[in-house]
Amino acid sequence: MTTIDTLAQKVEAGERLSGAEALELYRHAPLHRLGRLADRVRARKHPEGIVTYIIDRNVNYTNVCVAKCSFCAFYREVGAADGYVLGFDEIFRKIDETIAVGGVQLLLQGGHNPDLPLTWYEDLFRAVKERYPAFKLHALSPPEVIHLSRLSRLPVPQVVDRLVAAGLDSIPGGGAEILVDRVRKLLHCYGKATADEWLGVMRHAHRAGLRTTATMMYGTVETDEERIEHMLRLRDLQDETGGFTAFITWSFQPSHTELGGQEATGVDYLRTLALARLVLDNFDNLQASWVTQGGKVGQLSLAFGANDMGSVMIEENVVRAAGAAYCMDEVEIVRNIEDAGFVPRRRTMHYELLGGPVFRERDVPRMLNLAQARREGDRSVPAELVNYPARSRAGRQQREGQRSDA
Amino acid sequence: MDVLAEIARRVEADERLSDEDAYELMSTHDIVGLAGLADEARRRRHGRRTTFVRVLDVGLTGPLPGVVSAGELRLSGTPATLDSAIARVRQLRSVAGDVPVSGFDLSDLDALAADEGLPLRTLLERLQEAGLELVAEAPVDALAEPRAAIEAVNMAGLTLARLVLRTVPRDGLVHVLRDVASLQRAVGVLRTFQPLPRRLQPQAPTTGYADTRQVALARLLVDNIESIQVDWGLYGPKLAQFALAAGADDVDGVAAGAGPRGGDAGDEVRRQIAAAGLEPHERTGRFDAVPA
Ligand code: SF4
Repeated sequence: MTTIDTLAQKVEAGERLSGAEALELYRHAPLHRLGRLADRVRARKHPEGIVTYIIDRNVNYTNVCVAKCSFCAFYREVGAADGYVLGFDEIFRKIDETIAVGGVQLLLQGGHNPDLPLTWYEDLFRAVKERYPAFKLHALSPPEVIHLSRLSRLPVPQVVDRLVAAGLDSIPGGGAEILVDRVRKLLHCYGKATADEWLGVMRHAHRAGLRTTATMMYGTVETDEERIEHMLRLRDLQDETGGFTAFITWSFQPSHTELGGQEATGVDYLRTLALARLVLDNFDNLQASWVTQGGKVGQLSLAFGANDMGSVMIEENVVRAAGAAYCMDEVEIVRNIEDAGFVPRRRTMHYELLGGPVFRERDVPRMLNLAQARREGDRSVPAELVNYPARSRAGRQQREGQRSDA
Repeated sequence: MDVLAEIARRVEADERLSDEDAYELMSTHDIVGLAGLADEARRRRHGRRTTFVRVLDVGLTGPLPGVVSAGELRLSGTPATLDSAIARVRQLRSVAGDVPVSGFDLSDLDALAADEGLPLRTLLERLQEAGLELVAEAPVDALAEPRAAIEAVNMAGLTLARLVLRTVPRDGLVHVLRDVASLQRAVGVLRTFQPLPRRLQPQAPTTGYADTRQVALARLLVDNIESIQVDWGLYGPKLAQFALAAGADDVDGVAAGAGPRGGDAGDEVRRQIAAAGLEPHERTGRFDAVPA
């Protein structure tokens, strides 16, 4: 019996893998063997054969960011001509469009903009909840929360509590990249959040009763061991709090980034996903990243451990900035789920089932392209920004200009 | 699961699969299991060896492209007349050096022969005399008489580069694949078969499962054609790379020179093949190895 056979038996028996065992499987298990093992575990956790998805909209409220991660093609520097902040009205319009196609939440993330104070977020969240009481805000990844904590000089728990009081429902697991500080320093994202800080925000959020997701962006400078260390750190926190609802992994998209290089291949994605299903034995849900892998490998993810097709998205700006532009609306997601032999079900962020496809209940417009945050060349500045103090010089000048125009 | 294991035993023993087996595989949702079976069959024949060819596509009109290193210069498009086709082949041949010139879709040439009032074989001989070495593709589902057409290619002193499917088979994949295997038993000259449809339908694209199933079943049911091929340019690196783990062993349509995202497309294909745990080997359109 080979080592791989022994490890496969261990997985089949529901036993936990160590880091060294995970590394052995990742490096040496044949692709099909790894996939089928992950599929067994998926089937054990989800014996009813349901594959879920959520209808929500991925909105990036600003692209202005002081973090300057070397793998990011999305951000613009403070004062850049094509830097933007979305106005409350623009966000309301996006929510209206989301609700029209059966959407239930916004995934709201953005750059670390020094000119948006905590009160801007609180006012936005309150305004959203006032207009759309049942609509959910899955918002602000841990590095954004840390940024707000630094900007407002308030401890993270207090920032989270204030955001929750204003309407925050859950926290997306963005900004995790690889939770190993050696990697974070090389990617220039150590400053925005160290591995411990990222986990610390999630720990607090879970203790405060929020559920969150966890992510991993691989394929930059990390070693195989570091990819696995990332998974183990998430597994440990999940043992401690049980607060993660899902894990999502995707490959670094190199186009237009400072880091550059080549994208990890589709087979590497499937191996990494399958390994995550085996290592993260305390996570119920793994999402397929069709937005980075395309619809075909996205669908094949369902045979490599994923049980969720993620979000219909409606809008996407970050991955698009790095060159990938895949789109799947609800019709397409459902077609892929059914073609793979599963039953499609809409869900919430908490994985509560909402029902079958919306387009089978009523007419919804087909969506053949993902929307963008703003139309190309739209340089408008939201009127309400004038009410919020700006930290940067460029921000202060812009506010002054707004005041004198008024 | 048990059914698949039983079929796997037969694949391992090199036994021919029954129609019942084929329909079982056709309907399974265990796509990784199916891909694994096809991979097993592919490895018995080719091991980890994975070939690819860099192709420079050349249109039927306009200036000839600059010289780049390629394994095949391929004329693409439907010729309006035999004379224009001959002229273009001659033109390309004169700059091709020792790189083979391929071109045309055999069903288009069949239609052209009818228009010109010539037997297909005569038309093919005229193209061969002008310098054509390979007919680029023969769509088995678009040819009225595939066997006769392929024999005409052979008799004219040309090579058929690949047998292809133009569209997703309407009469059922198993049936079509069985026909392809019979065709090869009759003609014996087919080197590669490309089972994924050449015509894409952007409004209703095939799925990852469907493409994988089609490639895997081609490997398992068309066991008398040496190579199962996937088109890199047409299907993209993600699906094409996975197809190499589902029975395909040869990659067509790798751009000569820079790929769509810059960088040498040949280097990128080598990287992708290696990342799938396979060994990349470049070949020419004549199926000769290109020294590394
Ligand atoms: S990844 Fe986020 S934090 Fe980093 S530069 Fe981009 S927008 Fe800023």
